[in-house]
Formats: sequence, C-alpha cells, structure tokens
Amino acid sequence: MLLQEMLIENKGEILEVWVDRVLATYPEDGARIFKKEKNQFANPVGYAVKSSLWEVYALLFESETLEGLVPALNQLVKIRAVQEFIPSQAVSMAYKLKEVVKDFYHREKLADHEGWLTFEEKADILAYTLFDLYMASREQLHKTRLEEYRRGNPLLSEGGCCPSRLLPGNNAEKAKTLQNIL
Amino acid sequence: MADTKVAQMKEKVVKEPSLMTGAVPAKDWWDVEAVFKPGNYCYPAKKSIVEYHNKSLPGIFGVPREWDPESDDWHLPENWKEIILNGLKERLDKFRSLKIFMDCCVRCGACADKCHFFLGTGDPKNMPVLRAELLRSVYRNDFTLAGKLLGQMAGARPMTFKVLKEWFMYFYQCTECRRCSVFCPYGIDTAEVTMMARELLHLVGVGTNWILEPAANSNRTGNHLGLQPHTFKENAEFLLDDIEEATGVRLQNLNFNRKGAEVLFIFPSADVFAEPGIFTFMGYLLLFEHIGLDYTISTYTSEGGNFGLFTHNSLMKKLNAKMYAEADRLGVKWILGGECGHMWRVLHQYMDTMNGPANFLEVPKSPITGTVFANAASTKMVHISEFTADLLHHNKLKLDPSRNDHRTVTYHDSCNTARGMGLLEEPRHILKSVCNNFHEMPENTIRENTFCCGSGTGLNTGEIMDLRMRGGLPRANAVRHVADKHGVNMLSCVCAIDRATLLALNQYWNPDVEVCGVSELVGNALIMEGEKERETDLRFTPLAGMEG
Repeated sequence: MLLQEMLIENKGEILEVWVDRVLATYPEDGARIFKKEKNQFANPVGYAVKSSLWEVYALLFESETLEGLVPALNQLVKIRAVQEFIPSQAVSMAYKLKEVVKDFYHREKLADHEGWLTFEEKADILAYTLFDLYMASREQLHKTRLEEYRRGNPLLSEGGCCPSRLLPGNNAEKAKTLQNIL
Repeated sequence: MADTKVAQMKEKVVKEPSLMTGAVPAKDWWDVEAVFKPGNYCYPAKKSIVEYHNKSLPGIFGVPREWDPESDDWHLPENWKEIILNGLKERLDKFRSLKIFMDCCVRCGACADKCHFFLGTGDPKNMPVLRAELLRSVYRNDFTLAGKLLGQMAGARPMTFKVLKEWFMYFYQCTECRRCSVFCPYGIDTAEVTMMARELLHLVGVGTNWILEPAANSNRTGNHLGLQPHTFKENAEFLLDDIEEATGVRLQNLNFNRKGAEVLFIFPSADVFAEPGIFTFMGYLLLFEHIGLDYTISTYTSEGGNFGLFTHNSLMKKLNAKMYAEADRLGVKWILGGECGHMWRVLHQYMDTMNGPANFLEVPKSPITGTVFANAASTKMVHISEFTADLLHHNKLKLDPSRNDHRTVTYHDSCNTARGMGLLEEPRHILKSVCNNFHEMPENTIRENTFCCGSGTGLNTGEIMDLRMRGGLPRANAVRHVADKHGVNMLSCVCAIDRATLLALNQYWNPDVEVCGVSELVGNALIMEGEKERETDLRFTPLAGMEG
C-alpha cells in the first residue's frame, strides 16, 4: 500500500491520535476536559485543536491545493501563542503529525520511500506556516500592548505627569508624556 | 537502533520548563510550584503607595517595602504565617459564608470547566474547585480536627512560602466574575474565596500596584487617575466641543458640584479621559439634555469604580462611602450611576451592609416618567440602563435608530452587572430600540452565563497581556462567532473596564470589531432639538449612506 492511500484509509484513526497528542501538551486534567466537551463555546481550545487539525489534514492529503491552510490554522496558533508554551511547543503540531504518521507507517509495514518524501514536504510546509503564524501572533500581541500604552493606560500607575496633559486635542504634549513613560 | 542523542534532544525540548508556570506538570497539584516569570504576574505595589494607604488604614496592607515576586525572598515580616493564620481565623469568625464555603464543597466538579482562565489555560489550578482548595487546604490544616489528625490524607497542608506563592499566582488569575458560582449546586461563591485570600495576602504586604495606586488616587483626588477637580472639569467640558461638531447642538446642562440638584450622577472616570469611554460620556450628556434632567456631577466623587473591592473590605467601604457623603453634602434626592462594572457589584451586594441604608436620600423616582425604582429603595442609586429603559418604555425619547445602521451590534454582559445585580434585559431593550442590527452571542456565553473580559479585578494591566488574552479567549471566541456569522462590528457593554480591556482583547482576537458603551449608541440615535443633519456618529465615523 502507498503512504497516500494509507493516509486516506486511516484518516479517522490518525487524526484521533494526532488530536490526542496535541491535547497532551496541556496539563492532564485540562486535556481531559478539552477532549470531552463538544460545545465550541464551552471549550474553545479543544474545539480549535480538533476542527483545525481535521481541516488541515483534509487540505494536506485530500485537496489539490493548500489554499486555506492559513485560515485553518490561524485561530489555533493564536491560542497557543498566548498560552504557557515555549515557542517549539506552541508550534509542535507539524512534528507531532510526523511522529503519528511514522508510527502508522511502521504499523502498516509500508515501504513507500517516494510517498514518504512527498509527505515530509507537506509536513514541512505545515511547519513553516505554523512558525510564520506564531510570529505574526506574537507581533500582534506586542502591538496590542503598545496600543494600550498609547491609549494612556499606564498613566494609572506609572504616571508622574500632570494629567492635564491628557486633555483631548493636546496630542503633542500627550505623545511627549507617553514617550517619557515608554 | 534509536539514536540516543536524538532521543535526549527530544526529551530536552519537551521537558524544558515553560516560559510561564511550567507547562505539563506530571506531579500532584500541590507538588507543582508556582514559578514567577516576566509576563505572568502583576507588578508589586510601590512602597510609597502602601505607605499612603497605611496612614488611614493601618495594618491592612502590610509593611511598605520593595519586593520582587521572582525572588525567593519577598521580605515578608518574620511572623507572616501567624499574620495569615490569625487573619484567616478572624475572617472565619466574622464571615459565616467563608466558613460554609470552606466546609461544604463536595468536589462534584460542576465548576471545573466554567472558569474562563481554566478554559484559556488548561491549568487545573484555575478550576474554581482547585483554586479554592489552595486556601481550603490551609484551613483544614489549622482549623479542622480531621486536618490536624490526618494531615495530607485529609487534604490538609501547612501554610508555607510555596503556598503563599501559589496564592499570589492563582488568586490573581481569578477575576471574581462568579461564573463558577452559577453552576455550583451549593452556591459556593469562589469570588468571595478569592476576596478573602487577597485580603490575607495584603495583610502581609503582598499586593499589586495596578490595584493599590488607582485606589490611592481615588481616595486622594476622587478618581483612579488622580485627575484634580479643574482637570476633570476641563476634560468633561472639552467633550462638549466634540458633541457640538457631531450634532450641531451646544449642550448647556453640564455642571459640577451644584448643591440642590435632584440627581447626583456618578460614573467611571475613564469616561472623561479615555477612548472609547468618552463617547459613552457624550451619550450620557445628550440623554440628560434631551429629557431636561436636573443633575450634577461631583469632582470629589468623580469615580464610580472601587478598586477597594480587590483589596480589603475596609478600603472598599471607604471608597463607597464618599459617594454617599457627597450626595449628602450636595443635598440631592438620589444617585444615578453610569456604565460601570464593579461599582454596581459593591453597591448591590455590599453597600447596604457597609454604609447603608442611605435614609437621608429619597427612594429614586424618575422625574420624567414618575416611575419609582423600588429595587433601589435602600441604596437610592439607579443604573443608567434601568433609567434609560424606563424612558424608552414610556416613549419619552425621540430616536432615529438608523443612525446606528453602520454598526452591527452585539452585547457583552459585564459580569458585575449581569451576575452581580441581575441587569440583563434593560441594556438589551435599549439596544433593540436604538439599533436596527443587533445580534446575540451564543446562549451559553451571555446573560448569567456571560464570560468575563479576562481582565477584571485589577488585572487590566499591560505586564500580563498574555495572561489577559488567555483569560479572555472564551469571550473573544463568542464574539468571533457573531462577527463571522452576522458581520458584527461593534461589541457593546456597560462597564468601563470592559470598554478598555475588550478593546485590547479584540485587537488581538477580532481586529475588525470595535467596542462601545450602550449610552454611546443612545447618543447617536437621539434626535436633539435644533440639531443639524447628522453626517457622522459621535466618534466622527460617517453614518450609513454618508460615506462619500
């Protein structure tokens, strides 16, 4: 059997293991609930992991094009970019897919070298995309923080300036004040 | 044969401690230590701020000092454990609810997956049951027979520095939103457990600057930012120019500290200096002018917010009392409150016990409709949404809701007004009257089930932005759903902290969705006497059809 055929035939089983392994990056008690609860609003993380990985799998192995990969991954990466992960853990989904598929490759005793190279190329595309999205998310987070500073938030606790400088319209003064704080 | 080096390297990557609290703990919860790293804790209170608070409330905020949460020496007083245990005993004796909450949890797990911080992190210590257990374990150890005899077997553990660190970590990852209490079959209010734990932390001088400095400012000059009366007044007056530019009407009714006014209007100070609160403020003023309300604003009690709630009940009482002292001084009949969150929580749940009943005031009665607000018979304070909804019910407002047609609106129930005082229908009644495009978020994320913004109880500070984004994920996730499904581009709310923090939350999760107060949308829709043809809304965004 060719690897590509195996990936289609065992889709459900592979995805279940892949989702499990990604969820296993969360503390055990958390992962259990993330896996169980089906409502997307009561369980945003579990839902994002599952829906995102299923969508990505279909794009990688059942679609003619990879268009749609970024939207499929965006929410999941945004979530992981602000969670308690070091960067390599946050984007480990591609490597986990490799591990899972390797296990199935051995289990089915495949010998499809060409198929493996094609698969690996796709997994690499996934890894690059994840990395780009992760960096974009961190950048967005940084901008969010900066914007909040610019709106004058820190003046509540890091002031040391006359609040009258915040009078609307007094933008030059305001900018100067904020510059001192930043 | 497996390559040993590769195996070792993989191991290292997976087991390397996380940047935050240490991901994937493989130990029992109480063996996992809280690790403070930049980004997962709020900055400690400045020495000068604690000194200030100690002048009027000695002993409550600990010994003023500089300390660093990342260090293993927090410069605690030598007898800090004794202070904590004595403090716990005092509270168990004083607050019967705390004693019950410590004893009656059966660990059914109904609350476990209801906390927004748990849902955003997966960290078991953010399950409300386990968060309370951080305090309960110490309670068992020193205050129950089973705990004294059986120790760890009975879920008891002594108070140690490790436990103190856990408290500082996790009682500052609870926004006291009370969503978990809605699901608890015993009605345990984990928010009150957090409040008690924060009081105990403050006793040994473990507090955050983001909370204590605004509280100090509020105590000294009347508002969180420390705006002095003339500045507060000038800021508010400056907004009259903007109102005139947008509507063509120069409002004449803005006034301050006027004795003998019928109503004292108190609102969060952010509404006079920060976007998008200033647009909400414009909405208030337009409404008052429209109906000819006899009101005044105080520069002394120029803050609705009460950061005392996040520290100690004495400070909460003190900050709440100034509202009533000012109402008394000005001789008003009753108080109208603006779109604020925890001001209402304090008022609805604690004011009466702390400072009430306010018998020197009259039971609020709308001068326009004659409605008597019997629900406020004791506190004498009415929410602007209750007041506006009553005006709408009696057809007292001339409206053109099409002026909000460029907005597709949804409504975020602020935790404090929704769960803290049951304000559910009034804002919706208003929104449906002043907007043509209104869509609810999914049922399990609104009303009593509403998800917190993730930054309440003084967590709305920049140094923990990652944490805030995690905590706000469930809320943002529901906003994203209505944005995708209905094209929602405006998230309305009735809380100043929400107006500030949902802005940041949306900027990360839903950059196309803006944030506003409900009164801003009222202001857009009000047809004012002598107005010009409106081309923009109050924030100078072109109305639908006026884009060219």
